[in-house]
Amino acid sequence: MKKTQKRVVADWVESFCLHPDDYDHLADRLLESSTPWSNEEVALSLLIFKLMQEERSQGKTQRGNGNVEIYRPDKGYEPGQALRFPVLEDIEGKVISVRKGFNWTDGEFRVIVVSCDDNCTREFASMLPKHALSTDDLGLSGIEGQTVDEFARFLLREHGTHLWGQIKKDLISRGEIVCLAGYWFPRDLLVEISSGHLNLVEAILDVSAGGPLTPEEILQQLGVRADGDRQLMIFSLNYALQQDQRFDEVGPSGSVLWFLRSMEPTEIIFPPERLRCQPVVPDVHLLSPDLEQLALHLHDEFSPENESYGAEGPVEMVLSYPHRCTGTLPLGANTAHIFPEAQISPRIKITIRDALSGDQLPGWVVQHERFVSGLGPLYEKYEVPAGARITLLPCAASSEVLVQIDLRKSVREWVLTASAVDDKLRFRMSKRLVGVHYAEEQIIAVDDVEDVEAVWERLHKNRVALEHTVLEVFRELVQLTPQGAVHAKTLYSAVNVARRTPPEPVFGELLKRSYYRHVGEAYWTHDSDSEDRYTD
Amino acid sequence: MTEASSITSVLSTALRMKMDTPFHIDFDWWEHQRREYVFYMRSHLCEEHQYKFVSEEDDDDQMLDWVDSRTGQVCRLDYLHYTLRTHCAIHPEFLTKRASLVDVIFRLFIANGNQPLTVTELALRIGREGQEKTIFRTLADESLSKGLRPVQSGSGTNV
Repeated sequence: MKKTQKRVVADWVESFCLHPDDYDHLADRLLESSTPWSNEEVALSLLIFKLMQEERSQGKTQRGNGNVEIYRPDKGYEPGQALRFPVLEDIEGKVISVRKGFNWTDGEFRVIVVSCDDNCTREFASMLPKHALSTDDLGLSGIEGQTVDEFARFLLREHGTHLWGQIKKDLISRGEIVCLAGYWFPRDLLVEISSGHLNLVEAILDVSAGGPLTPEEILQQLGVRADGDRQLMIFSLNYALQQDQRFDEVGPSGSVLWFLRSMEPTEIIFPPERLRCQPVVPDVHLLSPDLEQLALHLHDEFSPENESYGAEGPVEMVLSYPHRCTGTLPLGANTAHIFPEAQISPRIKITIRDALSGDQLPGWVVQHERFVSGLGPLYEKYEVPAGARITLLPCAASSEVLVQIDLRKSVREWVLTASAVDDKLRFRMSKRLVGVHYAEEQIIAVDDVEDVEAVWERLHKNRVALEHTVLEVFRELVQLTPQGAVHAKTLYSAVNVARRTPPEPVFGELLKRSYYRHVGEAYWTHDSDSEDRYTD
Repeated sequence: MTEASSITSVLSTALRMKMDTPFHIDFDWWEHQRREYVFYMRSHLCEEHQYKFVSEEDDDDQMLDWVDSRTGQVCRLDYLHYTLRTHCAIHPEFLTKRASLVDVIFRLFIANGNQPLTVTELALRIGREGQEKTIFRTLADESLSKGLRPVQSGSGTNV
């Protein structure tokens, strides 16, 4: 393909959008086929239709039959002629006068003055010897042996993301042709699913412990025969279930699974306050390169996304206290590839498999709140503390995840321990039996979970400022080492017992407040004489 | 302009503008300040043309027809503007040369045929992502704007 032709194709793609004719064409084709079409089928059909329209309009230009012509800079025009300008969003206009054009580089040409239908008068070149628009528009006839169908496929291959994005946007905004799980069909032509059928579906899911069931399984249990239009029947059922609040679509991308909303676990309908957190806006907290690197290694799900996006294979992670407490796992950029995702469903039903015993547990991926629930029984079974190392492995089945608690021989060790004294959070070192591998700077045992949670609740309700919480926790931690120094990771982990926060705001405090002093590597100390801005 | 009137000017302009307002060079604005226009446009010429224009007594008043390579649309430009757009603006250093924020934006519009751009698009094109508010404030200050103004609805030509 020549450079100029590439440019024209790129311009055509950039100005691509659907017109009323296109919607009518697609609705007619879907009616003829009586079956929903995939994204690719829809895109291909629309592209072929539009390319054939282009071909026809080019023919019209060549014939000059007196109708509205497509403007080409190499042609000559007379006053009174009607023109259309595809690269200017298809505006039309009438030539009102012609004059001689002048510059030193383009040779002899004329300038037509056009009164456009947006009430603007514009000037265009005509009889211009060379111009990109004068090449065979889109090169439909210039690519040897290539049919419109092949050219449409070529466009999808080369510019699919842009073209499909525009098609999808236009179809959704028009609303007449609806989409479900990557398939499209006109809303008015769907098979009617009665309220009686929907009540039956509710009962079917209820006796299946809420689900999930595929639409095929539901149809079978409904006893609905759909031999001829099976796909249409499934599409119509999915659409009806989607419109009914009682049902929740919980399948990963590419598959549809239905669950009864009333039987979904409470923690996925009302995500735990313990996990709620504002994502960190990139570059808001100005950190030193060392602290920035440290924050990156902590892989907090609310930290700005980093280069681990797009990772593959197993992931080793360190369990934080909020997730230990709520029986969940974080859904961050580094773990995203392990769990299934969905384009629309906010919740996805998964199976969690214990790599040690092979036991299966029901789990949920809660996309927006960035966590995976259902790990509680596993944490209890292996007495997993906050700070434990856990390995996540992807499975062949997209909705299954393998979780490996990294066990080791149980040994009594000194570990950081949180407790609540006089309604305040206190930290001390205590001897604990630990039977899992853990991150030394992040392990935290908790003496009385209920009391500690009561302190968290008080701090949460009173909206205590992060500055105060960090200082309180720092004062506690600094007493626990002979050197009087606190590792930044330990501070992050301990602050997360008191409130949920990503590392960046905590590390930001270390740099912002004059009473923290860096003593080397990731260790910080505290200068109580400089606490001029803080009162207890 | 006094400080108070400058602030009033900024505020009144800002009230009319939003972050998604497209901007362009308003050449009608320059019509009323011909001497400043010639002086300012000359400051953007490449070395070769700086010399050429200085050696010529006056700018050629003849208007030339510049043809947009994408749309075929014609803009009538004076010799100085035509030279900038068809010669100086295609040099790689035209956009990368160190210059004030206003000058860089002005050059960008010269180079792109005065196609309107929002503040976000401008920041992206001149490599100043994250400084959208600074760009916005600069464009809102009419005393600094060098004719860089919001596109009025219904304006059909770019020039």
